[in-house]
Amino acid sequence: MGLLSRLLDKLDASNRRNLSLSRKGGSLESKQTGSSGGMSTTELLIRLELVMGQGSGLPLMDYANEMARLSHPLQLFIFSQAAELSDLSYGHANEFLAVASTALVQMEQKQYERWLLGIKQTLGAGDLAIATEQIENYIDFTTERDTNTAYLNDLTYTLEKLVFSIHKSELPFVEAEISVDNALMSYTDNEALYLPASISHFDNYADNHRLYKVLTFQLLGQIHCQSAQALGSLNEGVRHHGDDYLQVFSTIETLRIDQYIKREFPGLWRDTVLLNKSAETGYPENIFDDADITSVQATLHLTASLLESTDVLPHLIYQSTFQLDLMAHVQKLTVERKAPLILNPTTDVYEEMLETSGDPKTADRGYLRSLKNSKGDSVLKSPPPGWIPDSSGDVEDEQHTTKHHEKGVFYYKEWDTSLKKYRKDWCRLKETVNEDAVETIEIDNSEALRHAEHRIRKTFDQLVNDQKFIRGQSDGDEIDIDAWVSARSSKSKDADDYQNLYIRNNTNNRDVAIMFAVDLSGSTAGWKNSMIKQSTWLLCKTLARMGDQYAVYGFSGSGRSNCRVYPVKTFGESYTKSVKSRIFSMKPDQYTRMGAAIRHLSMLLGKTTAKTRILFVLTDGRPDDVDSYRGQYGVEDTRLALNEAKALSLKPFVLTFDKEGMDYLPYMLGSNRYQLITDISQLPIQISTIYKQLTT
Amino acid sequence: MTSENIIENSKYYIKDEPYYLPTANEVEIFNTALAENIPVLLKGPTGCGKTRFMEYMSWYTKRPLITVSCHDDLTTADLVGRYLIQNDSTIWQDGPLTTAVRNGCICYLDEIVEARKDTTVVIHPLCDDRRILPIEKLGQLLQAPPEFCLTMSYNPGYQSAVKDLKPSTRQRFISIDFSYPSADVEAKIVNQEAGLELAVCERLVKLAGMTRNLVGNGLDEGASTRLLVHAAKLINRGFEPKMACRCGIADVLTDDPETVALLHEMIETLF
Ligand SMILES: Nc1ncnc2c1ncn2[C@@H]1O[C@H](COP(=O)(O)OP(=O)(O)O)[C@@H](O)[C@H]1O
Ligand SMILES: [Mg+2]
Repeated sequence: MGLLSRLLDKLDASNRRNLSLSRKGGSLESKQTGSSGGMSTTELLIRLELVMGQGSGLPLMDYANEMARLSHPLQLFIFSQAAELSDLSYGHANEFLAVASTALVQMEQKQYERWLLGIKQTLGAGDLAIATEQIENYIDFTTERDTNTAYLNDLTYTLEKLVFSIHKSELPFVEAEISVDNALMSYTDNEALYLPASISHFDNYADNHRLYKVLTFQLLGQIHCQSAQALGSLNEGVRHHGDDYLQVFSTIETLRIDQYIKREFPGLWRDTVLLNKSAETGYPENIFDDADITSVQATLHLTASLLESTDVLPHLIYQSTFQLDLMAHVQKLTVERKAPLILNPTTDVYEEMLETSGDPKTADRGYLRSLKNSKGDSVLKSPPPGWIPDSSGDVEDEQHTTKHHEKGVFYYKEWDTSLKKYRKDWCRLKETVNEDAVETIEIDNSEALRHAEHRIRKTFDQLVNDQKFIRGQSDGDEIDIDAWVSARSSKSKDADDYQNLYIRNNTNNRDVAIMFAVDLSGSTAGWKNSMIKQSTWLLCKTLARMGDQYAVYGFSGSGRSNCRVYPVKTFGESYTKSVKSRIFSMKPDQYTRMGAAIRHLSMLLGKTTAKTRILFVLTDGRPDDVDSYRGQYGVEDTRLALNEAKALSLKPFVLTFDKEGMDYLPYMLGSNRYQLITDISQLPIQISTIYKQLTT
Repeated sequence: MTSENIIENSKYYIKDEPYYLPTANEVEIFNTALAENIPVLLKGPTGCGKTRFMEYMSWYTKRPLITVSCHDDLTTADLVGRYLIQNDSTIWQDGPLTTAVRNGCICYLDEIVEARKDTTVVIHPLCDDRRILPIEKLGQLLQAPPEFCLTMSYNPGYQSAVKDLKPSTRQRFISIDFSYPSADVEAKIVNQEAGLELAVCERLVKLAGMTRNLVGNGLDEGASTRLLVHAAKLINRGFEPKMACRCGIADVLTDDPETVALLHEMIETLF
């Protein structure tokens, strides 16, 4: 009860209102969404009331009006931020809302993220007046920023891939907890690297950036040098000597890993040396000689012997915070990897895990969760890798931590027209092969269809026979006797006449690849779907004869994290029974997020080597998706996606059922790149005619 | 037609031993294939030593080598031969494949998937037991001598799925896998080819390994041995290693600014 049901009631009511408006002849589109495809003022107001409370006396309607200009993702971002701020200070949340819409459009994403991070940190520290100043002076963030601070967010992309190139599997970067005394925290559980959100330790960017790199490689070094093996002794040591033991261990282990880095990554070692210089740390050169660094035992030995004389040890700025509980987790992972679970009933920890679930993977996750619960302020503040929030698509700052290597999953950018910027890795697209066998293959046995098949054949045969021999070429397989005779009899005896005496055989010179992108949105249900299927089938059948490369993919989805593409026939496949069955099992799905689909299919088409590459989109309407991918926003993103396709030297063409398509297609594609399906029964013929035009 | 078609063999012989460091048992396999008259397929990414291997085998077996770099306009006539007009009469000119068959050479078709599909038609009868090259325009069936050997290379990494070889072609061959050599072998190769000190070569190989891990993740292909040799040569000529790696490796691999930046970071960690 409470908030949620209230919200739903209101949304319902507002929908009804909109509906009645549209019946009276108003355009549904303009009332329901903002100009940039975001939420309407009504919906915004309701959400604002939800965050700030009803009857607060605040000018929420003004805020809503302002926000209506923004795109859906930006609107969501404002809501989530306002909610977070209001937890810290209600007044500041209001101050934020008052400037948010104006501020955000003037800032880069990085800038406003920084702006808000700063505000929250100030509020957290209790400096209310300063926070107000920060909010009001957002303009400072649009121009120059704190140029000395390095931010994890900015570096994650590069560092993650860098680590991947060494480690060969993904280690996501996660913000580390903030420690009580504001010390730099960095640690790893061998599954992710935890690093501070920002580093401003040095008064110059280069060193702060360098520190990030060195911290990263230290953590990587811990994994490769198996620091976690020390766990047993560490526990012992801490029990006897307290946290000092861990401190000493940490320094010495860092020195050991330094040796590894010195050996394996000389460039990074140079960075480390520079850091120590900047931090004015006296580096103990001769603690390890290369011989005895092979195992963490060496570190433990030294720790024991140096425990009394800690003053010889420096505090290294980049030494990481060893976390015993995380190291325990690592050990369990190692046990799990080393021994198949049935053969290893000895470790009791492991049995514990088995009890939660039979499957080692879920057992493992269960373990993570219990660790999280048992410890009040868990270090595993962020979700374990692979964890995807249920409310995906609803949270603006949702991070795809393990995005790069999930099989069959791709990430694509999207153009936010209100920001005039791309949102990186915004859409999560999954390729799903539909292997459901179809019960019935419904093929109209009509005269019209047979006629259509005949017409397509004819069009295509013409295409094939059209240019079999090209006479009068400078080079070719055969001699062009006619050209030779005429050259001989030519009075002028012009040497040029003897240049072009050959015939080129062009049978196989057609070098065409075509990608059929078929819109499978819900709106194609019924006759459209059955017509699309039959047309696709006819075309595939005939295209197979031509030797052109072709592929068929359906696309649909709902929401940006749930874009779907259904391979019906890939380029590598030949036309077989199962392709046919897949054609006829294409069924209406959900929405049309066209941009992501076009980007994905362009990428696939771009990989073919044909000279002429056509991206053929068959659709029944304008771009449309749940999270406000519609209106201007959807059209703009699709337009950009099609432009990107052109930049890959692909030829896009859109064939649509939408009579209103002429309103936006010329803008999206430029002239001669679209057509309206006038008579559905002519669809296959229409396609083959267009095909001929495009390929010759 | 006869005498002028016999090649001046010396032109195709490789006189000096090319430097080739075997990475597995490829030399033995190739020799066996030669002895048994089975054509050979070399599979592997670009720049991993296929061409060099062929040169080496040509020298080793003392048979002339004819290399054809295939491209997408390569026709059957380009391989087999054609009539040319000269002073009011026509003369026949052998293509490289015909030359190779007539003279019992090793014929190496480099990047065969690039060639037009119909070219593989003439390859078929050469590959099966008959070992015949039909020359349609001359009305001849040329019997290949036992010394003749057909070798083709292709890069399975390239996503030209459609252009992949047909099973009927593939199944006539013995295949030798040319993936990147192991790290120490590769370092030795670079060391030998460029004359650069081994320790630096090892780092170059490590860099290559890192780029190869990024395939499908921003890169279509990792750095090849050839690129390492290039970078090594630059270093040897006095260029700063980081600069040499950027020019010789990173900037060659991709134009995407983000990936280039990433590759530069990699170089920074190693040099
Ligand atoms: N096993 C090897 N032995 C010697 N040199 C090699 C070897 N593998 C690669 N190379 C070096 O790599 C370069 C490129 O090899 P190449 O044979 O041209 O590649 P490919 O034909 O596979 O594209 C050669 O010039 C040589 O310097
Ligand atoms: Mg080569």
